[in-house]
Amino acid sequence: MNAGISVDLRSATPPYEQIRSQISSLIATGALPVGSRLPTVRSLAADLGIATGTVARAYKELEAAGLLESRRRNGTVVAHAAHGSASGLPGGTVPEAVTAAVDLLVRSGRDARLSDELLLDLVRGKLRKG
Amino acid sequence: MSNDGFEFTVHNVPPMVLLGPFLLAAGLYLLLRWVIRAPGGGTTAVTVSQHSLWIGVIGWLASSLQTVGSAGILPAGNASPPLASPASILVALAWPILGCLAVHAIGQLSYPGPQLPRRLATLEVRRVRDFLPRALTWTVAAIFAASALHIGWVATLPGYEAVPFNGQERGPGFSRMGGDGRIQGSVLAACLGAGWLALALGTVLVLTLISRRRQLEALDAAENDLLRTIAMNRLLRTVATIAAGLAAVGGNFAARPDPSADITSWTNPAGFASFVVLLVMLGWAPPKLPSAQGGGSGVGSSQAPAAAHPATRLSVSLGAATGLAPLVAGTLGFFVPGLRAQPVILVALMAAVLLLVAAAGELLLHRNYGSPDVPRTWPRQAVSPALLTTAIAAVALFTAVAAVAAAGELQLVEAGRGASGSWIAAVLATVAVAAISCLPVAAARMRRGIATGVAGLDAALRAITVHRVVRTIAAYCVAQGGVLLITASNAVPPLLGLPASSATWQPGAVVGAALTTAGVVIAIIPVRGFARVPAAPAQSVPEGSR
Repeated sequence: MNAGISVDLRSATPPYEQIRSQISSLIATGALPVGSRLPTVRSLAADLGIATGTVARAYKELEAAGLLESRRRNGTVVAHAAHGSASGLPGGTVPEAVTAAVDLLVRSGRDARLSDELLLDLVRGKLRKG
Repeated sequence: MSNDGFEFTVHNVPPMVLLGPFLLAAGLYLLLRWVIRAPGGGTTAVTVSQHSLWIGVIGWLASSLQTVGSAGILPAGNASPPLASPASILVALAWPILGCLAVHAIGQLSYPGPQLPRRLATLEVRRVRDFLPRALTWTVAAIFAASALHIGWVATLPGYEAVPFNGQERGPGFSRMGGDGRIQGSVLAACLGAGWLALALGTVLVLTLISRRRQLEALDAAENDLLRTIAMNRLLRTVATIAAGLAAVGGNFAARPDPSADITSWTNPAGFASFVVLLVMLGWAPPKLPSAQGGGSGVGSSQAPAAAHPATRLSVSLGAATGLAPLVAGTLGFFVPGLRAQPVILVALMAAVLLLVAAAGELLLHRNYGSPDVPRTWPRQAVSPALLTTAIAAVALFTAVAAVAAAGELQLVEAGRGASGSWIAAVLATVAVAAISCLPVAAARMRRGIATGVAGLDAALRAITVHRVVRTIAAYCVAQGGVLLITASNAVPPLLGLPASSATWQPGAVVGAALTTAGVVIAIIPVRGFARVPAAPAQSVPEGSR
């Protein structure tokens, strides 16, 4: 496993939400398989140069969503996918066609120099209509 | 009252016992933060690589067990105070063991946090075993195990009383009787064992710290992992020499014969093994950061002809020689009777040898590559402002220390107490070093120009020599000031209104040790360390005008 996340401090989205959504996305796409360990709150906060409380909040929300679980001996691990995610799918991951479509969307957005926020708004708007 | 005992203990702790290590740690932290900072702010792969090297070198310097070499030995004469009580042995062991571990720990803590608005991190759990260099780890583990076994064997050895030296008539000749004694082996082994345990546990803790330290922005994920392996390599090599050194201290103890048995010769095989470990560890180089290789050589691809020129190669190899020559001179001088008792002369000898090597390098450049038809070029700014400021401050510092030592010793003499007079030797030695430093500078100014085909290379080579000379002067003055402060430490209390004593004044000795370390650090700063600005364009000067 070599999944990475990024936090943009200039973004209007709060850092904890950026962390939460990226980890959630990585779990959904299978980049973070069930049972894989995540770094400690302190370690991830040090790498990102942000407060530990910010990372702790992201982890807490992911735990509340059932995506992560804290184990006394193993630290924080990826739990079975939660309700409303890819739990009902074979292998518990997002179908390849959907992943490819998302990749295409991101690539097209980058080519068109659209910001991440605008891309997300476009997707949210489509989801609401659909 | 019931609190009396506690208050007595607290009031009797010398302030420098706590303040000294704290000041050293704070100074080291600031130094490492300065090293890792790139000229334009932030960090680069080159500064990260230099920072890592500095941690290794300073950690190695701090790991010397020289002062504990005769632990457990009861001297027959009164030449030196014995290191025979558990408290004194443990204190002497604590400095190199905890000092070395602290240097590596502070090094990991001195990495700056990310500065860019976009922060990156990987979601991997970093474990120590993922970064450990396997072969080195097993070798170091074997050295630790052998050291533990040897210390365990030392615990079984009996102690001997020291027998004062005296002459006895034996047959036609006259033989000398007596010799050093030693404490109970179990006492020394307990101290060495405690040191071994602290070293082993501390190593594990620092390895954990290395694996958990924050990612560096200047490196990608793979290079961050490689940097952890490099740091572990340097830590493991250093602690291996300390573990072998602990065994050598035990070996020195074990090899001492019973003074009443009339055995005059003895050998210490563990000492030899420790030396072999030292050589092996010196040669076990860590891997290098690929991104620091390209920009770290100091000569970019656009300047490849300059780097490839034989005169440049000679100058680069002189850099290694100027590092090695003082070490050789210092080691040889240490074994010369009389010089060991005059450390100020030893320091001057090391500086003088380094300056002579620099002068010899200029003569070689003149002889091998100089041409009378090529005009001499002299750099507009031969020495960077930072180095010049350091050198001026160092000279002022040495002058101040020498003046304090002279004034204090004069007061001691007036009070009828003995004075070392080392300030006189230090001042004379400094005058000699200053005179010798004129040689390489004169050689750099007077040598013929070199036809390189690369604009500014001739001037740059002269600037490098001048830089080395000024750096040596700066390092010498700081180190000599420190050594003088140690040897004449008892001259300071009378100046501060404290009672005069012939014993070493601890605060002076601690500050002296810090200054000596700072001198060594200045001496090993690479040429690029001070001169982080591009060289000014060279100006051409007609032959014979300089």
